[in-house]
Amino acid sequence: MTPHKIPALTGAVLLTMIPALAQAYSGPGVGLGAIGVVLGIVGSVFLMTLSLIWYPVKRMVRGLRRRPATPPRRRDSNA
Amino acid sequence: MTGAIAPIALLLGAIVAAGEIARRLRIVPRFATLGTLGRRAGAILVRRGVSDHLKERATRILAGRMMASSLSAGAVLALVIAPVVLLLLADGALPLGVRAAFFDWQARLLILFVSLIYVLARWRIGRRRLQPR
Repeated sequence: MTPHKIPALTGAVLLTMIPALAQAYSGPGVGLGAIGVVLGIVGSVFLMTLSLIWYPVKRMVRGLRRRPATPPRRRDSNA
Repeated sequence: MTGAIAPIALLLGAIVAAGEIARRLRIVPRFATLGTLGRRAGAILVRRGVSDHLKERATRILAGRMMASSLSAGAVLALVIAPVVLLLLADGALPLGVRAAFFDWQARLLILFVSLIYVLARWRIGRRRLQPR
């Protein structure tokens, strides 16, 4: 971020704290509902990440550990 | 109070419409379903003695259901607040005085009391309908 953008960003954040300009009131019902919806979306993304990344990777790591590092040598039966 | 009763009546009408939409679209059971799905997902994740394969399948199914439930609950929430938001937006185009009434504490007090009376009356009517004849 360039130095001249920091005061502008700070001013924008401070402007949002003036309620007469923002006029963005939300009641407790709508606020809690919106928080619930956001938590539900975040939770579903988390679950999808678990099912698509965590468990397959865990299965793969377990499979790699079970497999021996070097294949066993064949015994020469004539020796 | 600002004087005009029309903006207060408009706001009350919008609030009543929002309440009726919330009742018809059953917004509370949708959030209850969302909570139930979250609890079930947590219980599956911490359960022992279940294979990872089953957990993977269960979490995938629950993730889809939770996403669908969240999006539908969000859409219903947006529909519920739509009358009030539309009224406030219309006040920007046409000077109805709704915003002034919305931010006037005496008008808000009046709206609060009338809304509470409406909610109580609606609740009594709903209970009477539920009782078997």
